[in-house]
Amino acid sequence: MLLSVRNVETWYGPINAIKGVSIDVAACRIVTVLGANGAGKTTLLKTIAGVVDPFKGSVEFDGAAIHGLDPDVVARRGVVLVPEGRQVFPFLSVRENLMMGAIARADKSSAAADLDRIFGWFPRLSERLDQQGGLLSGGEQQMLAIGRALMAQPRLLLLDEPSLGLSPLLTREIFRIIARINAETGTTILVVEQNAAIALATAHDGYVMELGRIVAAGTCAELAQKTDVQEFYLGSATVADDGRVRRWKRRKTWR
Amino acid sequence: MSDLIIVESCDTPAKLFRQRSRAWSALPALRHKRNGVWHSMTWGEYYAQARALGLALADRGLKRGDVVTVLAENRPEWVTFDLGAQCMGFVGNGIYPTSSPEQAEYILQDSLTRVLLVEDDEQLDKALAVRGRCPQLSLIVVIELKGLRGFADPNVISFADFLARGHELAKTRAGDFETAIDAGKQSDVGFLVYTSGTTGLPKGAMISNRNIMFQVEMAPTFLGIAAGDKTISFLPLCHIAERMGTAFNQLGVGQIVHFPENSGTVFNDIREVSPHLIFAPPRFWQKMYSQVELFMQDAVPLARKLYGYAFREGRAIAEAKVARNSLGTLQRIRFALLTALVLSNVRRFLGLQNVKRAFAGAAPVPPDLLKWYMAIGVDLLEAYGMTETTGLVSFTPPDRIKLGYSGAVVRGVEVRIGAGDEVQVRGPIVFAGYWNKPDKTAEAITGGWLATGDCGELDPEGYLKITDRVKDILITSGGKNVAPSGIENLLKFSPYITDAIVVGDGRHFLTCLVMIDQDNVAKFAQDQQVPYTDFASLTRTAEVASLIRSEIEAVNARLARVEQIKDFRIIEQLLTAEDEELTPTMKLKRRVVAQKYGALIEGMYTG
Repeated sequence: MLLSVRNVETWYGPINAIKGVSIDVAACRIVTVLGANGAGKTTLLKTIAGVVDPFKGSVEFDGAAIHGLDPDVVARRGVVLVPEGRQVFPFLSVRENLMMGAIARADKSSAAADLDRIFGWFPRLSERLDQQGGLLSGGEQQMLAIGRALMAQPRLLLLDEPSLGLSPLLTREIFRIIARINAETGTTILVVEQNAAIALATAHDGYVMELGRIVAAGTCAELAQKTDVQEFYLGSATVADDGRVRRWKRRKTWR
Repeated sequence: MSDLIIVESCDTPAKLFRQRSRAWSALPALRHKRNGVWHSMTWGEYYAQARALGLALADRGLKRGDVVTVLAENRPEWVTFDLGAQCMGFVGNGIYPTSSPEQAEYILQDSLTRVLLVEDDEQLDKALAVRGRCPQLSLIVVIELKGLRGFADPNVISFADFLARGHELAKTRAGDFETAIDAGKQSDVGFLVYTSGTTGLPKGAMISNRNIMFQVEMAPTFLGIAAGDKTISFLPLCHIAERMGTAFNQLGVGQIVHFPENSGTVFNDIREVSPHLIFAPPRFWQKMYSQVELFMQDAVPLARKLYGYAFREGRAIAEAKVARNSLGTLQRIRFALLTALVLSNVRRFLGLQNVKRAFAGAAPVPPDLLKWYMAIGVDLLEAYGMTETTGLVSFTPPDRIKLGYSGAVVRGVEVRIGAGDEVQVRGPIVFAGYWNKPDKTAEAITGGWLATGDCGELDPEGYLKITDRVKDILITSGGKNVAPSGIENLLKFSPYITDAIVVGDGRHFLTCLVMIDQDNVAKFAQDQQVPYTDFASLTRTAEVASLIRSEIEAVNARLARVEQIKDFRIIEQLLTAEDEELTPTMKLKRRVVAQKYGALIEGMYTG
């Protein structure tokens, strides 16, 4: 396992955001964590990235414990977070934003080659090299944020809701590129999403989180077969005998 | 049968309801929490609403003896509808909200239900799915209209409209309601209770007005609370215990019944209401107890020490009380001090600070659980009864506690032990028979004696001890008789085991299937840093298996060799009340479980 999260419990003051979560991320895979608002998905990524420290539990990356380390140390080890809501530097140009991603890398000489590769995935960024980051559209900012993270040569890329605020078309494009990056570079990706349909279609393995706990785990194909996933995450409506759409939700059992 | 049971000069619940509503008109009768706010209904309003609903039902052409059914969680509408119908001479009935459409269909057909009250669109969908096969069902009344905008059906009406129609009728025809109440007789059937049907199809037990009046008369002694005291209605109203507790015992006592916001908020609502009386199955008391135990595990060392000390002291007092020994002065003072410092806080934490009586019933009770509550100063009493006895047969008198017994048989009821140690009951509590099933009635009642299907013994003081269901007694291949529920009870006292089924009939040793408590086992796993993902993976970890093994071994140490559990398996699915493996009161159904997990059981005997 490239990443092993074991019994992580994270608190924000009195709020127990994660109540004991264990997940595995195998090398070269795309793994998704699904869940509604407040399930603890973002906290999980922040805990892995070292932004918050877990109260209990451990995070192991490539065989070494990384919990409790400062976020920049974690990033230098190759775990790079693309935060929720992009967080690009608004007054820096696209090129400067991208180079900020390369600031911590040991091997600066190959940065130019990496830039070219990123432009290959995100041609739109190459068209806007001198534009300020804050003036890009939402989708372009998302591309920039991913590009910036890739400049750090991550071994594990953490994506926090890349589809946030994007049109369905752009969401599909972003996820297509995520799949390409994984296929072409072998970069392992852990992506947290509310858009279950696209995440399950793109990722290999998945977890479902609710109220700070994992309630279901499996390959994405297995998860997509679960009735609870279909009903509560993929929004498949149940139609009654007389053709009316069922309006109420039954209780989840996670079988 | 000619001697009538009269309470406050009334011979039927309907007449008593009318009289109470007049006498207590401005006093609160029911409270319901909606969106976080408690709403009160006075006795006057209660009666007015019941009258309107009764008249609206009669307006639909119902005749005396016709059945109306409720399919809803506990709420005021449940009882106003039910009592309104019974005042008019209709027969009340209920379906568990967790029922599947097929189960609902069976009961609607068997009871020949004319009008059905449903809670919301979820329950309505069940009714709509099956009404084509229920020709008697002419009207469905819906309480909550959320999600039903634009829905129109000639045979479906909203509760608000139905009630408004009733109030309209009451302006001119209120007298009809009074006449109908006056026409009621003690021999009439009041309501039906469908038995959960662990064997065969459910049967509708007919509870007569006479049955009800006997229990109502006994309620003040049994419950030990006074008018204006508070209770909470959270067991299913389809169950005989809650039906009597919420709707009828209230006529005898006058307590204020509180309906929780929903089934998930019960513990919080209890803290808020701090009721004077709680009747609950052992599972409920178990959950409360494990809340405290787990909470104390995380407490600061001083608090933990103090709690441990106070608890040991409380337990010593409890044992003295059971042994009916008097306490020394020093012990008394020490205990008063510890109560003030510690135990009263535990009671307040649980919302039990006002409790005058607490009962555990509807299932066998682990003795350790009773002792724990006694130690914190809540005398948890055992009660025994069943649908066919209109609830209560025996309960522990608070001043003469005898552990291991389901209490003393109530006055006016006869109990004897028949063939195969079967408990038999005779008296005014014995139900009026099964609805449209005279053959089943004849099987159950012989010469006035009801065969309870429970094995037990009666001691010289009149205390009843229930060992098990007659048909659940196991006979091992060595020819030893074993009562599984006694063993299961000991197992269930573990905070990690919610329920267990002991098997071993015709085998040479006993094994069991265990349903773990999700919250507590998850907490254990987290504390021990045992990684898991979903519920099934939690049940499969080696640490959880050894945890359960050690809990079982602790129980084995207290058992005779033939009763010891040699192996076990954990049920990997998280079961809910909707599953066929559980009764609506969340008990494992022995036969269904044994069948469904047959392979799991076989695995323990081969290899």
